[in-house]
This record gives sequence, structure tokens and C-alpha cells, in this order.
Amino acid sequence: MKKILLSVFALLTVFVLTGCVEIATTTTTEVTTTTTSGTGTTAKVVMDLPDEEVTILFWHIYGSGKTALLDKFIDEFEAMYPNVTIESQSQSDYNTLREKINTGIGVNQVPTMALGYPDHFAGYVQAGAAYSLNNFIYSNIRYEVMDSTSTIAGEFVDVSLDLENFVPGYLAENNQYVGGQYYSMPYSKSTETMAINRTVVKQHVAAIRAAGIDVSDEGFFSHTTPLTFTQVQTLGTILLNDTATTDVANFQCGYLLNYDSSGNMFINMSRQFGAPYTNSAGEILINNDTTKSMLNYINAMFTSRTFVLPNQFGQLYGSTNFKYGDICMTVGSTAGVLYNIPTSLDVAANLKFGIFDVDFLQVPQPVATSGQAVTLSDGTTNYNFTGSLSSVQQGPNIGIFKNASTNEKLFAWLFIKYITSAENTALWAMDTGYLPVRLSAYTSDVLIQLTPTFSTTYVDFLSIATDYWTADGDVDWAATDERWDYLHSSMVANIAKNQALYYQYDPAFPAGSSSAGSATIRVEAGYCLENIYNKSKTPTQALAFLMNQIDW
Amino acid sequence: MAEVFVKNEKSYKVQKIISNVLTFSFLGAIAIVVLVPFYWMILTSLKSSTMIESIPPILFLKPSQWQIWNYKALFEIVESGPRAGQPLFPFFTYMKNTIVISIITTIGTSITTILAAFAFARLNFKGRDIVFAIIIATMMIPGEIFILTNFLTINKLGWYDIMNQSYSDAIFAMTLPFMTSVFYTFYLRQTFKQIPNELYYAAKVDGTTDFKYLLKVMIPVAMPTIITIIILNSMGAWSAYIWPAMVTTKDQFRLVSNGLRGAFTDSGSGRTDYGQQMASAALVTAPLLVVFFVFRKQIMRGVSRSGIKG
Repeated sequence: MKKILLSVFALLTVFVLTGCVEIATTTTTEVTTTTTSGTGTTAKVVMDLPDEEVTILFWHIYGSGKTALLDKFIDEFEAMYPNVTIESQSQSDYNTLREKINTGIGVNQVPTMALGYPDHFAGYVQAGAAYSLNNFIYSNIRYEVMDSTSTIAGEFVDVSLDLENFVPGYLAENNQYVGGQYYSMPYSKSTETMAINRTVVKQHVAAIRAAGIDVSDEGFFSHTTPLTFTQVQTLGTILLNDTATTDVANFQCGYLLNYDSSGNMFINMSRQFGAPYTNSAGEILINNDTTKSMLNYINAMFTSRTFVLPNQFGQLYGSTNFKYGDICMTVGSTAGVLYNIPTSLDVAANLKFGIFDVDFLQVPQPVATSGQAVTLSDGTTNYNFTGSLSSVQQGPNIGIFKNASTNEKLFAWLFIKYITSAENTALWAMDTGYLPVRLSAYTSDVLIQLTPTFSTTYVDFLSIATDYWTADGDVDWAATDERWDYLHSSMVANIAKNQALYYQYDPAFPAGSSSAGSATIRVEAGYCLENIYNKSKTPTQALAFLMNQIDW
Repeated sequence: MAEVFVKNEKSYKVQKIISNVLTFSFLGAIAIVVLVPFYWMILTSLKSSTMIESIPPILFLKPSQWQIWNYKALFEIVESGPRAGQPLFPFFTYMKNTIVISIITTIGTSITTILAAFAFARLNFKGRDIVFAIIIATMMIPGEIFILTNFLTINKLGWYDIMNQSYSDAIFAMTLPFMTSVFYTFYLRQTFKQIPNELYYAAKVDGTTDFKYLLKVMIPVAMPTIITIIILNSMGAWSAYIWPAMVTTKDQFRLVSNGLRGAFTDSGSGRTDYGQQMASAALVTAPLLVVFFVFRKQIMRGVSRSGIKG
């Protein structure tokens, strides 16, 4: 027995020691230099860039529509680092990707790097498989590229990353994990914006102004200041028909404001109302008086048809009924913006307002600036709280796994730095419809060929919408001008840029022994609002049901 | 007396008509329930995205309204960029993999099933019934439970090396765990047991080996059951989803069922191009329909014998 125990102990010791050892294969020359950055003076250790052959396995879920640009980035990166091969593999969908990684962790079969949502990374962190990117972000190492065949031969490459350049909300999402470490970096990000039927608004400009809301002659609201909930309710008195059917003659809709994602609606309005929701430690804080008050307010808005969910129409999204004129405004993902635009391809008989003009605004907020006390009213009840500006940020991030070798991790990190550089994140955003992850991308002057005959920089791309808004819609572009094709994408990009200042993230954590994980809670929170909308439960019952579903 | 007879005959005719009406109405209703999904799949594959969104839904389309584009798009080739020359949706690669997997799995299952069923039905060895009972008991365990253990086995065998998985590794990984079936073994054993012992003893007297007896007598006699097993197993392999997705590392190794899942969903908005997805699903279903029509007699015979369906 003693011998067996000793053998087991010896084996364990060997395994533990083997796990701790990482053989450095890099240093050939070390020179210490001092450089001055914007944040101060940092001593840099200069080393030769490792030249051993490295293969990086990158798992994502992008289909052929998005891999073309990703493949271009990979080709460029491999030309910069000729000893590196990046194998980019699509794993079909996010669930498959996460399941394969979770299963592979147990048998040490995980990729070098992967795309994933925050709750995926929270699970990888908990399993001890994710690698802390702080090791790179705050590194003082600078490599000299010695390979003469490299496109950057003789240049120096810093391992560290200037985080000040990134959208703050994205950073907050990616270092929410244990110890405030970065286990991922933002990549394909999106948010929600609000599409509005400008043709309908234009018919009511006088009434809207009389109600104290700024609107241009052509029906444009402010694109820099979001509408408040009180203003949305006021618009309801003007734009809503007395019944739930659209009144085409009087330019009034049956429903005012649709929220595509009931889960996002719950979470974002919790932030706006200052109602505790969850935290990254996995604590469920939903059952509180402010949330109850918020649910009562939402219920009142549902009843008055001020708010509506796609369930009303048997749909997953409100875009179809927005195009049909059943809804005047709709909040949805920036990635799905074009689904809201009526075109000649739609069945004409369904478009109650024909092919109308669509504008995009920031999502409605309770207050103009965060921290203000506010009182909302549904006509009979007042709802008092301290409001905050909040809009959702969503979309996957990229992280690196621990089991990769030192050099694999290093080049995976350099690849992350490369694809999230200001120029490349701007290219990615224009090509895919996602949003840039760096603020500096908004001023990028790198040209991207959007069509064989149309190239633009991100700055010029943004100015398509701003020019249009400045001219109150009266631009002298020819009908064949390709800017028309990008007008709505540009509108959304501008709105997202303005909202970037108050992005909030959904705390991510895996399921625990006593509660569901953040992804499940989001789904159940959505069901909570749907139960209230369907009148199958009162707000109190819906909240109790939600708690029962997520808190075991 | 004659009046009573005429009355009874009339009553019988009325009863028969009512019975027929009820029977055919019921069968018609069931047929509609079965056929509507197929019809909807074909209809959706011929719609544009705006037609798919249309409320109320469009139930019929004139041929002039058909959007054949959904089918054409499946075979489009990327014109420029690093993936130039490659198909936008690797339909033929997925189909080839699916066919290969179906054939290998079916051959493997048939061999193991026939041999196991023969052993349990005909050969006498110690503990035969206990072993068979234990094997049958595993049918009570849901298949999903085996995923993790199968995954560990495949990994130990070196067929799930995510950095270097070869095509043959992927094929072995996808097929090996499904080359046996307890249910089919049980099903075939019951058929084998119906073959009279006298045939076996007569063959033995003639000096026939067990294996020759299996080949020359038992398999031909049980051929309808074996064909049913082959058809049902190949249909199961054709629609396999979770396991192939789990053990393949590269896109080009996947089956068409996995390809259909994510290929038409926009990763940003999460919206699916149902037109293209249904066009692809229709093309995937077509070979199964052909198999069904060609072998419908055998399938129906198998179904009526066993009370199972695919």
C-alpha cells in the first residue's frame, strides 16, 4: 500500500512539475533600451524574434462571407512572420465551438486561440484552460525581426498593447474575470440601435415640436442625444393609432417601439434603471425593488402599445413588421441593420407606407446624463430612480489557451494585435458590418474596396451619413451614387460610435452549483418579459418565475 | 327474409362507406401532417427572403415566382481573394463525406451485427444468455452518455489530434463507435432464431462449417431483415449530427448535416438565410427519397415485421 501511495505521489509530482515547466526557446540576444510612451518611460528588453516553425490553430465560426478578409489578414501576417502558419478553421456555430473546446480541455485538445463569447471564456477560465493576456499586454519585451524574408525585416515589434486606444466598454467586458485579468480581447463587436420610420415622423413634425421635442423639417431627431423614455411616451401620443392597427391615412402605427431581443431589453433597462442584475462573480441580484418597479413600468408600456415584442406578430425580430408599417420604431442589432430597410424586393402590398425613409437613432435612455434622478410615469403610477445611460455591447472576443507552447502563444498574441490594429479593425468593420474595437479606427484613412468601383476610408464612410443628416436628407448625390448603398450602414456606424461612450456589458460566468450561467439567465430574463407581454404572468409572478428558473 | 337480407346488405354498405370515409380521412390527415414539412421545405427553398418573411405566409408559388437562385447559390464559386476557385458552400465535399461515412458505417454495422446475432442465436457457449442480457441492458442507457467515453477512446487512439487530424483519422473517428448496434443485433438474432434448428443440424451432418452455414443459409433466409437494417442504419448515418461535429476538426471533413447547421446563419445578426438552407436541405433529402422509393418494399416489409421506423 505504501509503495502504491509513493508511486502515485511520485507520478503526481512529475505531472505537476512538467505542467509548470515552459521551455523558453527564444532568447539569443538581450539588450535593454529605454523608450518613452504616452504613459511614461518604460525599459524595454530587446530580443531576437523566435524563428522556430510555429503553427497556430485558430477556431472561429465565420462562414465564407467573412473568411475572405480574415484569410487576407492571415496571409499578410504570415508574410510578416514567415516561420508562422495560421490554420483558420470554422467550427460551424458558437455552441459547437464551445462544446468542442470544453470537451477538448479534458484531453488537452484545444486550439491555440479561439473566438468566443464572454461566458465561453468565463468557463475556460474556470477550467484553468484560458491564458491571461496580461502577460503580453504589460510585457516589456521588444522583438527584432531578424528573418530577411519577412515583410517587416529589421523592424522592432513590441509585445505590449496600448489599451487606451480601445473602446472602454469592450475592455471592461474582457477583464471582468478573476483577478481583473484579460483573458480575451474584443474582435467582432456589435451593439443595438433604433431604426425609426422617418416618413411617418415627417408628417407629425409640428405636433412633435409642439410637444417640446427637437425634430428637423424632414423628420430627423438628434443623432448625438438619445430620446428619453418620457419623450418616447410623448411620441406615442402622436404616432400611435387609437387601435392596434396602422392608420395609413393619418400616418400612425399600431405599435410604437419594438425591442428585438427581450433578453437585451431586460438587461439594458436594468442598467438604465440602476437595478442590480448579476455580477461576474456569478451572484444573481435580480430580485430587488428597482427591478420590480422596472417590470411594472415595462408592463404599463406594453399595455399602452408604447413597447412591443416580436412575439406580438409571431416573429423572432421586429424588422418585418417595421417594414410593413405596423411598428414605427425598432431596436435591434447593428449587424442586422439592412433587414429594417423596405425595398422593391418586398411584397408591395404588405408595405403599408410603401418604401419609406428610415433613420437610425441611439437607443432610448431614461436620462440625458448618467446619475440624474428621474421620474417616469405611466399615467397612474410614478417610477422614481437614478437613471444611467446604457447600451448593450455584444459579439465575440478572441483568447488564447494555456496548453499552447510559449512561441505559439506569442505569435497568437501578435496575430490578435495585428487583426485588431486600427487599420484592420476598420477594414473588418466596413467589410462585415461589425464595429471597430479601437477608437482610433474611427479616424483611419486606410482605403477599403467595398465594390469593384467604390473605395472609401472609414472616415469617409462615416461622413456618408453625417453629410446626409447635415443636409437634412437633401443631398445632391446622383441616383447611381454608391453612397446610397452604404447610407444606412454609415448611419448605424455613427450611432454606434456615439453610443460607445456608454456601452455596458453583461457579466459573464458559467453555471454553478446553485445558479444558472449568465447565458441562461439572459434567456430566462427574456422569457420573463415575454411572459409579461403575453399577460400570462403579472410582473411579480414573472420575476418570481425567473428567479425559480435560475436560482437553484 | 329477402327484405331483411337487402336491409342488412344496405346497412353493411353504408357501414362500409362510413368506415372507408373515416379511414381515408384519417389517413389523408396523417399524410398531410407527414407531407407538409416536405412541401414547406421545397416551398421555402423557392422563396426569396422577403417572401419568407411575408405575413400572412405565402402558401403557394407560381413557377414564374420560383427563386431558383437559392439552389444556384449552393454551387457558387468564390471569384477572388485567398479562397478564389473554392465553392462558397462546399456542398459536394459534405455530400462526399456523408456518403463515405454512411457506406463505411453501414458495412461495419452489418458485419458486426450479423456475426453477433449469429453467435447469440446459433452458437452455444458458456454464459451466452447472460452476456446477451448485459448487452441488451445497455440499450437502457441514452446514447448521449456514451459521447464522452467514445470521445476519450477516439482521442486515445490518436484520431482526434486537432493539430494534425487527417482525413482517414476523421473517417475512423466518425465511424468506429457506430459500427455496432445492440438493437440491430437483437433484431437480427430474433430473425435467426426463427430458422429451424433442423437446417443447422442437417448442414452439420453434411460437414458445413458454422461460417459457411451463416453465409449460405442464414443470411439468405434473413435477407429482408438485413436489408432493413442496412437501410435504417444508412439513414441514421446520413442524418448523424452531434458526433461528426464533435470529432472532426476541419470544415472539409464534416458531413452535410453539420454544414447545414451554421453555413447559412449570419454570425453577426444571428439570422438564417432559410431559402438557401432549405434548398440545401432539399438536395440532401433527395438521395434519401430515391433510396426510399427504390427500396420501399423492403423498408415496408421491415417496418411491418419489426414495428419500427427510421
